[in-house]
Amino acid sequence: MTIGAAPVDAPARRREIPLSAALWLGVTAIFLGLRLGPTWQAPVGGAELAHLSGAWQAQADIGDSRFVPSLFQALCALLFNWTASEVPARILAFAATATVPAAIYCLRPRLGEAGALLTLVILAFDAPAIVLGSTASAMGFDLAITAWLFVALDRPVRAPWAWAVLGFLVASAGPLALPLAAGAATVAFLRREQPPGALLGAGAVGVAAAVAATSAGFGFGADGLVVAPFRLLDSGSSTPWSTATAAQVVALYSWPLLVGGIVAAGWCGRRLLFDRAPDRTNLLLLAWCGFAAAWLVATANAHSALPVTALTLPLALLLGPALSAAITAMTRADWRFARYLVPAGVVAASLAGAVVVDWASNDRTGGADDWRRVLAFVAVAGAALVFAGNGRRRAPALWSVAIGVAALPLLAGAMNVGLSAVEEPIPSPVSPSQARLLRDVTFELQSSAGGEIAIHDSFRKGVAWAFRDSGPVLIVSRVPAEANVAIWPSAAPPPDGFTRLEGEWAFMQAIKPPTGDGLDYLRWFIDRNSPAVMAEKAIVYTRDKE
Amino acid sequence: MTGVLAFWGVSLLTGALALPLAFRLLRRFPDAGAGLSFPLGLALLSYAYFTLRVADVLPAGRAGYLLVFGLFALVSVLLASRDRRFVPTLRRGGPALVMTAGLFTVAFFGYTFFRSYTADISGTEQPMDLMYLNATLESPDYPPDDPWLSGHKASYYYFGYLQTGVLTATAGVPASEGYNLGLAYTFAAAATGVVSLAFALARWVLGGAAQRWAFAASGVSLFLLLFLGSLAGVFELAAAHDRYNTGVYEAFGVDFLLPCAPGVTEDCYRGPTPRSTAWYPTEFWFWFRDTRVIPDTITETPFFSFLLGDLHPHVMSIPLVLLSLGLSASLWRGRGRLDWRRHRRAPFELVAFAVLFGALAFENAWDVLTFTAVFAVAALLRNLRAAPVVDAIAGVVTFVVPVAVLGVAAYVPWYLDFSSQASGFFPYVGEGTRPAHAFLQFGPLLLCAALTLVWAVRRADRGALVSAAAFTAWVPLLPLVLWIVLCAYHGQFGDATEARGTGGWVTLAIYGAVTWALTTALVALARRRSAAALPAGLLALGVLLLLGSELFYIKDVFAGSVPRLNTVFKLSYQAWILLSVGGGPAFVAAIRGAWSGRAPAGWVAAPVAGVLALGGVYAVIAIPNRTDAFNRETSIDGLAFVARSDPDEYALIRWVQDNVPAGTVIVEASGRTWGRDGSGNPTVTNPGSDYSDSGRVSARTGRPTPIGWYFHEVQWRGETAANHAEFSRRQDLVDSAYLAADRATVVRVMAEFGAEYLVAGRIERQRYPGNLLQPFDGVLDLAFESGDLRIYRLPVRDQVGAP
Repeated sequence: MTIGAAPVDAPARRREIPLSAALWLGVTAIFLGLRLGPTWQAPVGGAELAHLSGAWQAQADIGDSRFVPSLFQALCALLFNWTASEVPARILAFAATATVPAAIYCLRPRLGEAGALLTLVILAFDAPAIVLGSTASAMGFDLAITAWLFVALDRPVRAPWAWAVLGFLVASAGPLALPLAAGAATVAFLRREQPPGALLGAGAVGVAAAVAATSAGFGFGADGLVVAPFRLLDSGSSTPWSTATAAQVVALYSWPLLVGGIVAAGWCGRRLLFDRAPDRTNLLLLAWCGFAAAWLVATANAHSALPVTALTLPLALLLGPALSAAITAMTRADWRFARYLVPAGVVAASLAGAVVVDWASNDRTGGADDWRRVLAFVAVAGAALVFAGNGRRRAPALWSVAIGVAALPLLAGAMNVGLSAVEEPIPSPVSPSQARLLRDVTFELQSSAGGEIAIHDSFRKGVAWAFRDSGPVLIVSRVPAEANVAIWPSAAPPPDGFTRLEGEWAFMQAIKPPTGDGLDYLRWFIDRNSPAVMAEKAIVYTRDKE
Repeated sequence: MTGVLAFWGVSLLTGALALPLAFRLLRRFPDAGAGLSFPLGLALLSYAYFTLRVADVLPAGRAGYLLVFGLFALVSVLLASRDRRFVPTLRRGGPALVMTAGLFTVAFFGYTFFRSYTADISGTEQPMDLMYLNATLESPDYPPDDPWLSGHKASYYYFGYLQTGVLTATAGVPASEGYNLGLAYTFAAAATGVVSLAFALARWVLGGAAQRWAFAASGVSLFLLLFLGSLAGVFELAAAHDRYNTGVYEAFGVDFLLPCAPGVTEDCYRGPTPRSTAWYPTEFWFWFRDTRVIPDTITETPFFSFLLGDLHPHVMSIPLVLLSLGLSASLWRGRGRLDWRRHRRAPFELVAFAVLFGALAFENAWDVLTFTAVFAVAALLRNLRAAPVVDAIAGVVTFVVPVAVLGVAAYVPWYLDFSSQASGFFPYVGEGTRPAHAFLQFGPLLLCAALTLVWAVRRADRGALVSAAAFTAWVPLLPLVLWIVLCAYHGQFGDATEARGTGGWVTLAIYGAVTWALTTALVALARRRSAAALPAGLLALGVLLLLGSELFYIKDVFAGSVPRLNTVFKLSYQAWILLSVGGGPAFVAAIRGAWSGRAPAGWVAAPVAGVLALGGVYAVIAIPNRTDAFNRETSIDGLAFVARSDPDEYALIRWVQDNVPAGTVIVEASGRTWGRDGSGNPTVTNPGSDYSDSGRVSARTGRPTPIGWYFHEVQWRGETAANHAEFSRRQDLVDSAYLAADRATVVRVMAEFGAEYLVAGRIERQRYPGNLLQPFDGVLDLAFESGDLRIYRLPVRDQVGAP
């Protein structure tokens, strides 16, 4: 460079967006985009239906055991002072969940750039997590709180006020963060760590404040000592928040994540075993996974998807970096044979799959010839893949098959749930739009007939939400004298002295997950319209005029 | 099978999580306390659950149990990480851990296999046990409600049911399966506990080189505790094949097995002939009467308890009692003086002792005094090795009193609702136990105990023995003197001495002599600092309890008819445990002496072995009788028999479990049976409700009902006029709901009890037969129907939405 010389005109510098930034933006957009659909248009159902009903009742100053409350649920009740729509509450949940990509971004030093990105990709396509993060159940803040708690533990954050806030948030939320908290305590004990008293004290103050607030119902009425995560943990295992059990949710949506995550956890655990100074955060992740796995195993038959998300979150954090390493190994593998054998194996497997799909569609397995054909294709596929992966340098090529096999159901599930396809078993049961129509019809009748509206007790679960902002409504087993309009089950005998109105309405709707054998699952996977839809049908009656 | 595996897995997990604490409290044990980790873990887990539920921190429901397991896991990790000797202890105890887990598994599945042939929860007091188990599982509030007296808290020592409930809920099995699996757990935990304890005692006595003998000792103790039965079993077997000698049978007091003479109907055999159609006695439940050999008493053995299958507190407490003995043994084995300073140095140990010994009262109130006394004596023996007598006693007082105070304080929420039926300590003035009966029931154990004298004679010199004998003479004499004083005080001395009978005095003398001899052995061995002192002490206490039950009784509701029934029952059960634990090492030490060429010990041990073998006959013949030689359908669900015999009633129970929220009051038949008198008016034809199907919906589901078993409520809450009036009032109201022609009565009665549901099932149709049962349609809503069984519900009227 010559000092003093006039600068030569250089070509104008083009602004370049770093590839990583673009990838982060893109993946974040996918993450948020898949949650936007349910936020706007998913029917209210599952745990959300129970908790919004409880929040509405609390706002109406009526005691309801569905109002726990968590901080999120209390905010929902507050919002109901201004609106009867679930959308603002969902926006609140969405906004909290929208911070999760930022939390994962903060974990790049821990997970690596690619690892963190892949973690976010996995979380983006986690169907149960999509539902949890974009609907207004009492656990609406849980994903965000858990993610940021992990960030705080990893860094670690040293400001007492931050731990006070975290303590408050964890103790006033759902149970999703409990396995992480237990894992953190385990690691602290194992490593004989002594956290600074100020931080512990601040956290304890936060927890105490949260318990005080939840016990006071956040101003909506006290109900004895309430520890919100414990109450919601119990509620999730004893009341049906979901038509599908946790085990069924795993089978339908999360098994790729679980299988991959367990492999990643095993790989991580193996490394730690031989490490003289095991990495603290990896220990924390494994401990977190352990407690979450114990929760899922213990409540596999509970009708709640929450234990599944509790495990997929830490597994995703392990799987991201593992996947990154696998992809790197895959690209560096010897593809001389694999470039032919892997596609050949995939084609052979696809041919076998096509036969099985045909069986699934016809709901019957084939004859002996079909079986021979399938076995032959499977054998060919297996042989091709075994030969393709034979040897240390060639084996990583098989990751492509594993990733492909896992990605398919994960993507399918996430896309369907993210686009709020009505035949998805989560969320279920739901309050369908017909319930709201029924409410409108009923009120129209009441305005002409006068008197009260009586709704049969069997519809209790869905009444508070469907008939919100409708004033007082009676739930009865017998129509009282003061009621002139009655909503009765279609299967029940009509009440005496009443005339039926034409038509039936679906008051509640449940999507039954496939419960049979593998063919049942496969049929559902191909045709997601196939599951049985069970609707509780209601008929409107008006009192006969004398 | 999944449920069985889950229960077994949860049980093993409980033991595993308790290992860090077991290593701290029982490190001196050869297995580092592994065999006693099951009751240790379960007691602490259950206490934590109870306390956190009372404080409303934990929710009702399964999640509460899972949370407490998670908390226990964290505490376990904390203890392990803070114990520098944890890993070395784990390595040292590795083989023992594996053996303990193996023994637990074999015992658990072995008992489950047996119980699967006899799973029915019916008869005797099993419905009551199921009721309490469901109470701990289903009660929305803690302390738990009494399902058989709606609106009241349970007033019984239900900690055992709570512990079974912890395992049941965590494993995710229904209560009707948890009941049977809880028995399997108790059997397996008792097996590992007695093996651990007896092995430790034998190792300490025989030395490290005698490992195989120590194993043998633990095996003998296992047999004594869990398989030894009444010697009456030999007579049963012979009589079943019509091979008996009248004179011998009369001499041994088993006249009830001899055929009735013409015109005689009592105390003789009136059962079916031929008596048996197989190699074992096939008469229905023959084995039951062998626990009633001593008139007006019950002398159960642990084998009988597991054979019968009543999930009673005295059965469930066996592992905890063994743990308390283990803690006492470990304490005794330690060094250094014990006093209040120890608690300052190791506060967690104080808390652990307080919770565990306090739990004895909560689990089976009869146990707390006996086994806390063992704890205190163990502390005293240790202190005597380190300090003069006065200092030793002072140290023990300052060591034990804080444990006792904290042990009571820890269970205050339970004490507040507990009312004991015990109403005084009295001298027994009836007929004493005949020597023959005492021999039939306790002979094998007493003979094993007497073998301890062989040690004492070998290891202590004559002078020491004589001096000890002079010192310990007060031990058997003091109770006798106290008995005389109390008899005189009550003006019953003359009657008492006459009523006891020659046989009773002989038995008393034998018990007294054996107690004196064993206590002498204890003192002589303790003065030599011999490890044999502890087993000698346990044996001495066991016989002292038998002596005590001959002289005194605790007054209860049975005082008017069979005053010493419960006293003999409970004290002899404790004695059985003590004599089993100490008897194994005593027997094996004697055999080893013979093996090593010391003939006198062998001459004594050989006939004892023969008597022990005869004591095993009872088990050999009782098991096939109980299971129909394993020819029945199997199930581990205690209510499967209902599903088979009455599917509609089973469906009714399942409907209540699935649809009626916990804590909802259900009205069901009061238990009294009604008919019509000569004028056609309804009248009670049978007032009895206990030991029947009354309260069965409540027992099987845990939902409260206004009144269950009347007499049992009297036992639990006291025989007072007020209680009788209240319970009768409830029966009257419940009956009126079913019988009154004015149907508004049923709504009034349901409102009185806050009830929402009313059952009109099989039992109601039996208790209110014919046209006595009034229809409920029109007044109540039909909620459930199966066949002719129905459940009705009060009409619903709630409001949703703000006005």
